[in-house]
Amino acid sequence: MSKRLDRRTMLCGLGGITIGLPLLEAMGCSQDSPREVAGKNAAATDKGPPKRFVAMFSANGTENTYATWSPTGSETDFTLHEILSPLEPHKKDILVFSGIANEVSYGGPGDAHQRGMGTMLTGRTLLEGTFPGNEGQTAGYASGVSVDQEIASKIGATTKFPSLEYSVQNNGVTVYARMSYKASNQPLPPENNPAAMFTRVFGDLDADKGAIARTIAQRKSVLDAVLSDFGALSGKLGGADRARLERHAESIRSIESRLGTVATSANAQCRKPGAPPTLAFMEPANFPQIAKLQIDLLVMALTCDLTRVSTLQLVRANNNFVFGFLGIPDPHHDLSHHGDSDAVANQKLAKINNWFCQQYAYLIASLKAIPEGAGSMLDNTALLWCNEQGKGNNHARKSMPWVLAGKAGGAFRTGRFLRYEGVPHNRLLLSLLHAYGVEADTFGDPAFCKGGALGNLA
Amino acid sequence: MVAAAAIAAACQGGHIGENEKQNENEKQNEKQKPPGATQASVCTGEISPGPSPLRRLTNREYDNTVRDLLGDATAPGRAFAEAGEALGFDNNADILNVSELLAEQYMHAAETLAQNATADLPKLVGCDPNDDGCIRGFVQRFGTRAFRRPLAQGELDHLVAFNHENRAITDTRTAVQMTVQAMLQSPRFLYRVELGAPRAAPSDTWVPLSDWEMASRLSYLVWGSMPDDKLFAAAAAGALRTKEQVLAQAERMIKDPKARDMVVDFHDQWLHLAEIDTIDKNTTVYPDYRPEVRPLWRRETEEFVTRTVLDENGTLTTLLTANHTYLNAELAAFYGLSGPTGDTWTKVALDPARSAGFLTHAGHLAALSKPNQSSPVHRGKFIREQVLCQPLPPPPPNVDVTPPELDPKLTTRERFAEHSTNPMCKGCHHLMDPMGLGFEHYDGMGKWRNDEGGLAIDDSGRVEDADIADPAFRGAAALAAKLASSTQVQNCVTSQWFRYAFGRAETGADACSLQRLRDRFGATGGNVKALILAITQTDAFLVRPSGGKP
Repeated sequence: MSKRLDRRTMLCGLGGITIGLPLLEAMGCSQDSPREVAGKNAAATDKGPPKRFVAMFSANGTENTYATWSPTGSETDFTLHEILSPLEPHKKDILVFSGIANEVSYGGPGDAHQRGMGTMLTGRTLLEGTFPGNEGQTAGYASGVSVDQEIASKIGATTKFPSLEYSVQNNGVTVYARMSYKASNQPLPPENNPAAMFTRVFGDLDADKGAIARTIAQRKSVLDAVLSDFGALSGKLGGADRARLERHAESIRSIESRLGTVATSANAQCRKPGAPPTLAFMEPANFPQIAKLQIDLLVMALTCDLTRVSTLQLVRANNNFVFGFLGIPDPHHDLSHHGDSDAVANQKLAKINNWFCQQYAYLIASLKAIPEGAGSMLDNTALLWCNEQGKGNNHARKSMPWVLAGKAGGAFRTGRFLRYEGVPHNRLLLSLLHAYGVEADTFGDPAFCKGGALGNLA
Repeated sequence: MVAAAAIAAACQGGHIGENEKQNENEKQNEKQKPPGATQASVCTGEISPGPSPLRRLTNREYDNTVRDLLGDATAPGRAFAEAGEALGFDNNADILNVSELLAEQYMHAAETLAQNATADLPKLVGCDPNDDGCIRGFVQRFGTRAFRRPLAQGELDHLVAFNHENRAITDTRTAVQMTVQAMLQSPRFLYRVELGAPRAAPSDTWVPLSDWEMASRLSYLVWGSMPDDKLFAAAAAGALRTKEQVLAQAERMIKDPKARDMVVDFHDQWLHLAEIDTIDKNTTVYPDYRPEVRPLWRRETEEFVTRTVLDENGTLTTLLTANHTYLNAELAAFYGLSGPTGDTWTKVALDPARSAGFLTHAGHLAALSKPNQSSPVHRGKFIREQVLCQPLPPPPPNVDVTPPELDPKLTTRERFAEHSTNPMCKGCHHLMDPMGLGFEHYDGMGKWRNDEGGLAIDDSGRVEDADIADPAFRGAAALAAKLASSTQVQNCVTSQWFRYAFGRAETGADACSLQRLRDRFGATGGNVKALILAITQTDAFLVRPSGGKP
């Protein structure tokens, strides 16, 4: 059994801190809670290192002919081409998919990019709403929880953050710009600014233990007072206004419930990163630097077990980002609509997607560099690279250019190129849930889960 | 919603079908209007305020409020999660939800603000903070400003007891910090709570606002911030109950420098000025382009609208057609103009044939361009949607939206010819390109060009499907003059201000409020300041619907 104690255990009396009894009570430290927490901790330790899940997004589909995307060869002996070439050093750690279709996105409200994005990790159609779409249609947000959040409710309960949502160059607050959903119509806003992410995630890491205990107790006390204010006011308001305040109060209660949760199995490699340099994070030319900063923060937050679930959204669905730093003057979405025979456009799209793959490879390499158990953190992680489109120019989503890296603690047998024939992506999402011990027979719209989880991933 | 007006019917002949939903909405709105309503008769004498949803402070309002409440200009709200926008504005009550992330950001901001505020504890509290009586006075004084109304006895007792308890288990300074934190996270601070005035119940359908609520309505409209001492004093004296009293305060307030922030905020959103920040130009095509020019571009338009509206009593016509602008030396050099020196923004006269208010500002036109070329589509679409209030659907999913490649043998107009010949495109593009092509003398960086690489420019165009009798024009200045003479444009701008002022869509119940605004805007020759002041004289502003509690 590990000698490490979780911080809550220490706060509640084993750490030699002198704080007043009312504060201890305010922290939720009942007489038997230290034992209870320590016991829970021991159980976690016995099961080995924690599993993590990460999903990285890039947009507008892959190169239109797939020639520079799709591997060639057999399931276990395959060759990577231009776009996936950065994964060459990680070939044994990846699963490359062909023929996984986002079928559910062919129904429901919204345009092709709205649907592709909203269904991507939820496996459900969009709600009716006011975001403008094609053919005069409109769409709202997705109508269900996303796979990362479903996993987070299973494995994220003991960490400081149930999940963390990172983004780079993500503009607008629409269904195009959200990949992660806590529930139907509840998208989670990602953070573009590494400096803000740093403060949020690492701000109080390594602070004096006594100071942390006091902060937690004070926050609890203040939030209690605030919540009682919400209660007093709600009763005086009408239905819609009261519901608005109630949702706000629910957010506060959730924060309050995790005030005391901290790292339970911090890896020896855990250290507080340096504060990110001040950079204009929405400046297009800074994209590469900002992406690296975000990935470094993401990996360190996993290493320190501050969270076990993260998403990294690079730009947004349907974006017209200009990759000036790659020498490509054409806006991305416009470029994705050139015909299959436009070799110049294909070459540019290959270059853009190769650059995204480099970010993915850096994420993989960073996780690999953290020793854990007999292997690395990558072995205990599944790292999905997803896209809201398949073929950009006609919006075909019949073969999603997705890759999975890492074994999630043995749930996936990597090093393979898997060909399917139009298997709905809901079944892949369901396989992900199973890898984290979520018991479910379907995920998203059950109509697209016939046959259950994919059988050949383990 | 009224916003989704009529465009489906106009966007026809191509791929866009009849939009049932929008038409239904429109019919609904028609139904809400009083029977037989015409422009002259929507005001029946019956008071009709329209809905009045609970409004959360926007991130900008949060920053302004803590600045005025605490003297803290650190603007933590700039890093808060964004709300997005609805109907073109980020202050729409519907979207101002509080996610867990934002609640966490409120908590951290409250902690930092409270820490800053208590750096000089005696100054903040004004007496001995170990004394409950002193704390009671502080909480009463500070709370009145934080909640923008006097605290009820119960609230006061509660906060004093909270401070007392915390003082016993922490220390004096921490206890004051926690008290401030609790107030800064309270819904009474973060929302503009309106319960109506208990003093009178003249109607089943509407109630007057309390004096304190009226003070906040005024301050958040004109300043995007909390009331100042004079406004609080007027509220305390019950001197915000007549239209005249409200107008007198608004007239005082609009002269305050804080009103400039409001004028900038409205135009930033209406004119999409934030898009200037992320412009990226192809330096092979535009070797003069430097990213450093972007903040100057944005500043030019912000200076122009603020000075026009607030300092020069300017009109909508001035905004659309002015033959002058405001430049500093660096931006003047970009335009090839002289006059301004250093960083002083100076009024500069422009060639009347080449200037049309904000419409021909370089940043505006550069944002409505592609990295390597102008974009008649985007320029026309902006006018259609933002100036004529006719929203357009995006292109269909199977269409190649890539602009035609640059071709030295063809002008932009020629390269985009398919939009006016192919019936699939024409149905919608006749609403955009013919206006956008009027700006062809401005290149993708918004600079005047006499020709397109030696090819003659044809900048003739048409304003289709609008209330403009003679739709043909030649050049941006002529187009601007036509827009300036249009009642539809004037009504559109009125609607934009209405949505911004009230944080919601206009409804059938607002017919009279809107009509009063249109009348006033028209009667003053389109004076924008007069329009803003007139907002405070509408039913929508002066009263609220009754029945807060179901």
